[in-house]
Amino acid sequence: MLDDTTIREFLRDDYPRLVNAVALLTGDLPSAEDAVQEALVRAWIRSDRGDVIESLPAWVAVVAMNITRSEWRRVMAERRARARLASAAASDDLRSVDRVDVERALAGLPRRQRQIAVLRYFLRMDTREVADALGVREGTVKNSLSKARAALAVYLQIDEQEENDVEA
Amino acid sequence: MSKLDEELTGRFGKAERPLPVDPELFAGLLKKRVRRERMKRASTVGLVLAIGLGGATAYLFAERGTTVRPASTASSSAGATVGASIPGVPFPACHVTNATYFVGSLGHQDGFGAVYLFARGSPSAPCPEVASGNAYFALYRGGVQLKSEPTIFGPIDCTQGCRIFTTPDIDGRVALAVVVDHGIGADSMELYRIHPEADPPFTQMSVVGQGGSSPLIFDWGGIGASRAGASCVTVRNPSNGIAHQLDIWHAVLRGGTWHLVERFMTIDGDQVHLDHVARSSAADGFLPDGGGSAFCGSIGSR
Repeated sequence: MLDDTTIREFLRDDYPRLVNAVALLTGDLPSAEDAVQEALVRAWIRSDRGDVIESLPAWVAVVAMNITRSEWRRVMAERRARARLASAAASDDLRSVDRVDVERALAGLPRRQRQIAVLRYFLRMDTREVADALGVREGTVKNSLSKARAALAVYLQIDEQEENDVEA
Repeated sequence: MSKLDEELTGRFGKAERPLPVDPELFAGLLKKRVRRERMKRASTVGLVLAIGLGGATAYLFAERGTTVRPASTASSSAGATVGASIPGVPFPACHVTNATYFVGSLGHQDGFGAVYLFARGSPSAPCPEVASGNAYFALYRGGVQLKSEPTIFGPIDCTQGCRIFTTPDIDGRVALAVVVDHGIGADSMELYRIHPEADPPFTQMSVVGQGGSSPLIFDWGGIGASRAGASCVTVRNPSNGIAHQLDIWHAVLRGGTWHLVERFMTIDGDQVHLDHVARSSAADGFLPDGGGSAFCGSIGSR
């Protein structure tokens, strides 16, 4: 069961990274933050009911990514976050060139490939973990990842020579 | 890890931005959790009321024409440790939930029926939870008394837990219970009736052969080479900005590819209307959401 200590540790150790991961997928930090918080609350409630969540970060990441599919939620999250982030607007110039490049590259991929690429390359999950988290076969993940990485290599101008295998 | 994978991991790593965590975040989440649990309880009450309302209606119609009494219309044996016996079901049934349904013209006994959802139990073992591999439906036609032999479907895909939303799939003309998402969770549950003359999508989801045993594809999964789902999608509405649509879909696996048909239904007051149909192909794992625990934003139970 997820106790208060676990949740606090999660917020300290995993939360920022997961918000970043979801933001990479959606291109929007406020809605990512909202989605991760929502996913964490769901995990908490499930745990209270006795469900076992083997990997809280992986579970929260995938659920948060699914949550962001709701346009309504995104709109509401943006509305709530607008005031919250008003003072932080000036810090937007911290958007690094690297992040912009990656965001643009990801934006060119189909959603599922984007999701898998973020789980694999940003959260550094191996293909088995990604498959488990998404509830699909590992072969499906490898197939999508193969397409994603080829596209990303082009977008990010990475030399793809000597690349053949996709493995964890 | 290949060089390209290493390079991509490095580039993605550089994309991380510093994110200060609000010290009040934990307290905020704690409050949110409490609110959500209250909401969940309210939603459950709504479900019971909705099914009860349908059952009461069925009861009234049954009373008018015949002496047939409907069975209990909404009950659950969630705490069961020993399987119950359901007429016509050749094995113990655990965690039984049932609901009556009505199709066809009023006053005809054929228009009434009952559907039961349960886990398949064993005479010699404790009751299992309802889950994939042991979740079954028993469908009774021709009245709400369990006189007819039921058609039993299963096991059905029930990975995320199953709940009856009245009986949205049977013959395509029943009331459909929908959990409406208001952005942060289940807001309310409402009943919608499908127009019989409108290209009925629900018959596509649940082909119930007369006395046959064609797979019942409910709104959260599928069997073998058939899958189906129903989920809420949020769309932009030119008049008021945001609207919900039901994405009722089914997919058939042919030649290694899922052939997907999605029917998008606009919710308009107490009616739903077919907005458009989209056909596409999809690889495994790329099918739309199938409802289940996240149906219309509700928090489901396993």
